[in-house]
Amino acid sequence: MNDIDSVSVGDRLTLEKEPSRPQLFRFSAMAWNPHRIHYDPEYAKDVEGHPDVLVQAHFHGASIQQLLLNWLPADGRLAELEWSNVGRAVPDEKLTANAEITAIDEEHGRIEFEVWTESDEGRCADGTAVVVPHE
Amino acid sequence: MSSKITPEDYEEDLGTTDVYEYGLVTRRDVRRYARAVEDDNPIFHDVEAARSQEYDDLVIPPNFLPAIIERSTGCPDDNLREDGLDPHLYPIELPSDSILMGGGQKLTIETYATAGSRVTIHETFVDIYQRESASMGQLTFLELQSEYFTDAETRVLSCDETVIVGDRQ
Repeated sequence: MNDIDSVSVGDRLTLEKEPSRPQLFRFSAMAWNPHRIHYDPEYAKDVEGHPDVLVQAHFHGASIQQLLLNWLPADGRLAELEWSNVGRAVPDEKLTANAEITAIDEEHGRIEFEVWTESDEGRCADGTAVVVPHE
Repeated sequence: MSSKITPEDYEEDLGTTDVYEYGLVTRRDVRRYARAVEDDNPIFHDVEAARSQEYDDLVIPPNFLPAIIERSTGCPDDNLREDGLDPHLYPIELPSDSILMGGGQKLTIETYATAGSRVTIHETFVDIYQRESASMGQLTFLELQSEYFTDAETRVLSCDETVIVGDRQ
């Protein structure tokens, strides 16, 4: 179904996630990321003024990447992924990754997306992506 | 504080490139990263599934390498900043009471690297500038560009990254 001929501008993909505290710990461990705002709630709240520990900026990109790669056919490839972090997300709350087709370039075999993550508080990351559905 | 940073002090450093030997990316690295994301895509977990899609081994998730904060071991614990970060993590001296935020990334993926690759990272300090934020006061932006090469000297991806330095509120 995800052939370039069977998609339309405006088609939307969604992936719901709910990152847990152990999940954030694992993500920080794999990124060798010692930043306290991701595992020390007292530091995150009292020193930096966040509501809790925060979901890592790169986790938002990873969630969008997961959404797109799961959608792509076996011979497809993610070519570009760009996002800016525009809001915060905290663990144990719903985090949704979204992608909406904005352009289909049949000549070059590329599909462009607007991508974003959002929590109940609003958007956390905003960006764009380009996929090649068939190499 | 971000306001203690003077961008003009770093003008001569703009355009300089540091090279990091990240080294071998193993199947275990790939599987653990995918598990940390809770991403069960078989090309990250199952070698045969990856090979059936014509990759020579597990695919390294494209944003795994750019998500790594410390490319080497990091400084000794006693030298870490209060926020846990290495004070020399970025190509400027971070004021002790500043806060850091990830601003975003732009990945351009030329090919998927696979487990077993040895990765070298070329990181270039592209720009430093300051802007006023209504809610956070003066912010300093660092623009970094990293290129990721595998053992075949093949560039597999590049990453433009923005790091934001702010003042505690």
